[in-house]
Amino acid sequence: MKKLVLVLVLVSLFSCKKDATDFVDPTPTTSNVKVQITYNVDGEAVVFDTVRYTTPSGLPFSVVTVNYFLSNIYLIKSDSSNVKLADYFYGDGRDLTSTLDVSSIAIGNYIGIKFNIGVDSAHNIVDGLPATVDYNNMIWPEALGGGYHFLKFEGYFTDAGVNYGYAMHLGKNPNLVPVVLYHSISVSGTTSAINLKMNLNEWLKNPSIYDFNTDGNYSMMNDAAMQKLSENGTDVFSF
Amino acid sequence: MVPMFSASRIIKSSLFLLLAGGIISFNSCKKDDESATESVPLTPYSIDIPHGFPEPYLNADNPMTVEGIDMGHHFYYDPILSENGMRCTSCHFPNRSFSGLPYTTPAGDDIDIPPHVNLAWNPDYDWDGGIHMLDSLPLGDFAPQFFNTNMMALRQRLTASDYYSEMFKKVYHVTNFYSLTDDQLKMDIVKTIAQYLRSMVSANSKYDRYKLDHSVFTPSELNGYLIFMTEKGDCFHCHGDPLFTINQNKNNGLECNPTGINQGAYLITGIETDKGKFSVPTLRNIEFTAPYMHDGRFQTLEEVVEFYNSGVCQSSPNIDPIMTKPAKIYGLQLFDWEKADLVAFLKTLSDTTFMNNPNFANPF
Ligand code: HEC
Ligand code: HEC
Repeated sequence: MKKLVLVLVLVSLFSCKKDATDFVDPTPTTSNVKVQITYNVDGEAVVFDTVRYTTPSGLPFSVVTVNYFLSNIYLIKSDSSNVKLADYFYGDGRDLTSTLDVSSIAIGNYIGIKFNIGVDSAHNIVDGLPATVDYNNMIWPEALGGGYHFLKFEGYFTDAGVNYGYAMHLGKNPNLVPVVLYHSISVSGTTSAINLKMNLNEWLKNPSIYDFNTDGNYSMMNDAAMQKLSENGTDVFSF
Repeated sequence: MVPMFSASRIIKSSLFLLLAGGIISFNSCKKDDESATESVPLTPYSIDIPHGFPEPYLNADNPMTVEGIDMGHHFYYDPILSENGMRCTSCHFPNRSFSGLPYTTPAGDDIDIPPHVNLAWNPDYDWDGGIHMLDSLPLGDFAPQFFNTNMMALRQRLTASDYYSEMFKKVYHVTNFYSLTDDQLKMDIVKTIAQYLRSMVSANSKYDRYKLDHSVFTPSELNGYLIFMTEKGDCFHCHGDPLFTINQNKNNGLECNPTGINQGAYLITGIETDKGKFSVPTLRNIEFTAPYMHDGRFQTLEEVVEFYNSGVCQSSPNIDPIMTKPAKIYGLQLFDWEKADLVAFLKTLSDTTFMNNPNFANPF
């Protein structure tokens, strides 16, 4: 036993020494990337529950829930090849501390970022993602086809003085939202921050106005509504 | 300071046992490993995570061990903690999935007694979600209105008990109950109860078998399942699979103008937008946990389903947006047989192997 301990101590001493004397590469080739997402309504930072904003169709609304997935997240290189950042990311608008942190991304200048809003079809199946609390709460019931919600955007709106709820839920493979954002991104130093913004009102406009009254304040089981949200979703993100 | 086992100490001691193959005595162990002062190393316990369940919420300061769970199991059933014969199971009945009949507070409010099932997956406890730490939650039970514990008398009872004397030595290296302060002793006790509560896992219901083999449901159960899991009944948005709770605070519209305890989480946070919200309860073993809701206002599952079908107050403050879909404004409009189907499905969440598990039965 003592011998074993001795060997362990020696090994650890040795490895300590090695670490200390390792030469430091003067030109690191990779950097850690931190993608931080913030939320706004036409430029106004989102305050959950209390503040009322105005939808593109003119209805005062508040925000209670913004939960969504991103999948297949890549940086785009100038030769238009891609460097993968992550397979998927779960975003919660209430939790600004949850960032996408990726280590060892090649240093250099990238011309943009691309991803899907939602879960790619390969993972959008029963048990397609690991069972975590957040992922489980996005489950699209097996009875409805299985997979995951791509987006849950919920709150309240008022129309003619009456308060209503709304819930924009998005799911199903055809409604996956492709996002490509061209913007020069420099990956350098120890950590490179990429700051993205989600404008919630962009879900409700561009190319088509989504009006809670006419398109439905709930998108569930409403393919036309989900398709509209999906089409509007391509430009909810910006730098 | 409360003597405690760090996880690394347990790993160290069991690793040592493994290496020593039981030949080297603990005396030589002491020389090599100053942390191995316990006479017998504890056996680490890890929860067998059922398929589809996320990682449980564990507490690194209170690692689960077979011995700790055993002691907690005994305390759970033992009136030794109280001056009045009361014990956890005086209120949390084993044959009701460890739930109970409503408790009437000194202020005259009825509070339904929730079940103990899959608590390791709850990030917060009590109906209003106001308690975040399972390890200290049972401390409240020593209070005069419950166990009315006299700590000096408790020390005498524990000292007189061979089982607890031996277990305290094993688990905490405590040989003298008088060497601990009241708070230390209470904390040592409730931590083992928390370990026991975390070990109470239920995932062997008919529904769980249905997920593995889609054949076991009756037509009525299957229809109820479809109502539950689709927009028709739309229960899944809050009571989602597999825990049958999303463990968030929500207002399901019980009261149009919540006052008193019906204000729920608001009484904890004071935030207006929390008024009427309660921590969504699990529906596992719901067949056995009547009456229902935080105040036990519904006696049967039929009444609960009728509430969701026609009794939701759409103008309740902070009612969840999921409750106010146009299809729900005039109620779910379920036919009588559909309501019966929904109840039939809820009963498929019953796990009698959990309630009859000897690991959770009275150890005395
Ligand atoms: C006098 C009856 C009574 C006794 C005895 C009692 N409880 Fe409870 N227990 C309750 C009530 C009532 C609640 C719900 C309180 C609330 O939500 O405000 C509760 C809630 C709990 C919860 C939270 C469950 C959840 O899902 O949030 C746990 C855990 C718990 N009790 C454990 C214990 C333990 C362990 C003991 C024994 C040490 C015990 N209880 C003894 C009445 C009792
Ligand atoms: C918006 C979220 C939400 C939805 C949707 C929802 N519930 Fe609930 N449910 C709750 C909350 C919150 C409670 C606890 C409320 C309380 O005690 O005040 C609850 C309580 C219950 C209870 C009683 C649990 C107990 O231990 O007493 C049952 C049974 C139940 N719900 C069944 C259903 C069924 C069936 C559906 C679909 C028809 C449904 N729920 C839809 C949030 C929801």
